Amino acid sequence: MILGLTMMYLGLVVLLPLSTAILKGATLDGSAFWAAVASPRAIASYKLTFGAAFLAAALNAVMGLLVAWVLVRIPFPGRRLVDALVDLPFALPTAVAGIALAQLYAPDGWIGRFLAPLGIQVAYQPAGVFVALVFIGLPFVVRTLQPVLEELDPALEESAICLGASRGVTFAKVIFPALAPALLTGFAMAFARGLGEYGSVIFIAGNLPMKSEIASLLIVTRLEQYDYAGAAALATVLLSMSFIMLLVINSLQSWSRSRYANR
Amino acid sequence: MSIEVRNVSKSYGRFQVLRDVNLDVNTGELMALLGPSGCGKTTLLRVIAGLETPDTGTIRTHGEDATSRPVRERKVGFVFQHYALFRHMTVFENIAFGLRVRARADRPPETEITKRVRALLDLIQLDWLAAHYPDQLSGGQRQRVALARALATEPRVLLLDEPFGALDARVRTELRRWLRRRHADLGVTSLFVTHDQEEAIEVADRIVVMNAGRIEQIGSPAEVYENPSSAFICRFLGHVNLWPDAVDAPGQVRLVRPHDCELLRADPGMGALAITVKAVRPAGPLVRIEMQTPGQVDFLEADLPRETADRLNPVVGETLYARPRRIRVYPS
Repeated sequence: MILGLTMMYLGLVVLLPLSTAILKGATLDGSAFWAAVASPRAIASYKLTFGAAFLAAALNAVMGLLVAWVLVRIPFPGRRLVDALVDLPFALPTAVAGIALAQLYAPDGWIGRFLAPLGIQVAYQPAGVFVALVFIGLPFVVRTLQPVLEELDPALEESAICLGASRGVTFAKVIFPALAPALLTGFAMAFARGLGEYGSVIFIAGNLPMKSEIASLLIVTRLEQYDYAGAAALATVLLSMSFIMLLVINSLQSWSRSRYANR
Repeated sequence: MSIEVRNVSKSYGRFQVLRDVNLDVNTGELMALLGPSGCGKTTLLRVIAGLETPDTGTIRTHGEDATSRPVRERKVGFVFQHYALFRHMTVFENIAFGLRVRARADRPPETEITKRVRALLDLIQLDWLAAHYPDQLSGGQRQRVALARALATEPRVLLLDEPFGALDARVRTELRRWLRRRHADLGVTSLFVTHDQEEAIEVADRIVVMNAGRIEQIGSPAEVYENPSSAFICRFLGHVNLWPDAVDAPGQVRLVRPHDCELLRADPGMGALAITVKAVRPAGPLVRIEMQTPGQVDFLEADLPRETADRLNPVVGETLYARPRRIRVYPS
């Protein structure tokens, strides 16, 4: 009963819209489909989308761990406020975030003006995509790690230290293995979000074809050209690539969980 | 002297947990830190381990000042109430942890580590579980692994925080008897925290009774049980009756242990109490009589040997006379 309901809900909410996109893409014949999804412009957009999402999720995994650690373990005045701040990227309309970031990193922006003399340009460049995705992905990592960190028995670290382990060894051999499954989950969620992010990216990326154009923008472009089948074909490719990557990450995660909990 | 605690005080904010504590633990001794929850016993243990820093005072282990030494250099074995085993490591890897994390220069070769872990697994009688993970073990087995892990580095001092506290009654008794029997072979000075007086009496060579951040009495189990230095200790160690008195003695508490209480059918005079029998409960070799004196709300208890109880044959509702063989008087 509950299983049936779950399946129906998932089918209606997730599978139906997705299969519509696939069906639409399937109206193209083989060579037209291939031309739509394997054009140099499309390939460049996949590279940028997956590359930037991966790098941003990786950076967020490291920094998110640090933020979660500080929020859970180190009491400081204003901790509640900082804690609430972490959720902002969740709540903020992504367009607002994109515009704000573009302003900051523009050559005359608060941060951009210090980077410009060094020859570093972020806004309207591929690097801008990365910056936007870092902003969007951070809360996923922090919020998945926090409850796990709170549950982590301080006696584990204390016993490692009593047994003569240094702080570094204690982290590497005792704390990190306990956090690894949650860290992977957070990484996967940040990565998935990065693949699908649209709003914030288009304001900062500059959207130059072959250079700083993300895949979802290319889809929108195709739509604006009334090339619905072409857009659906691109969507199908994006969809299957995302699905495969998430599947890989998920199995990696269950492997690390089984290694940790031995079940 | 293995552990010397000198004038140690510690507060958390305005709450003073330890008040000028002094304690000596002899080499090879198994000592219990006994007290009600919140009396500071766990904090004292953690101060000795270096997991907490005292506000004032010093800790010396084997004659060396350890107060400012980092925990990892103190060579102290610590066993936690909830085991704190590393879940992603096997039993073997857990026990080997302390040896494997040593700096390369003083890390024993892998064959030596294996030998030592095997010996410890034999000691805790769990060699067949070497390849298992902590999640697959029972509570009693986990605590034995935690003990072996703490012993692997050959610590000079072993500290145990409520080591039997999370176990069920039968396993608890088994494990503490095992510790009692094997302690001499371990060759380590041990201090364990407990709130269970029976456990302290059964396991320890000497008992330290703490209350409200202070040490109230130090002595062998017999000394502490037979001659409690205060009304608090007398009440804390074993059952006790607050004895009502015909002669009002202000400023005094009169305490009588249930087994020091005689029951008679005829009034012997000399301060015996007239009581009404409320319940008769056979409990092992003793029979516990619950009784009440007129004008008192609280029940009194008398423990009679089975033979005596059979001869007296008390019936619920009848009036008997209770005469204490021994009354302990303390200032209230």
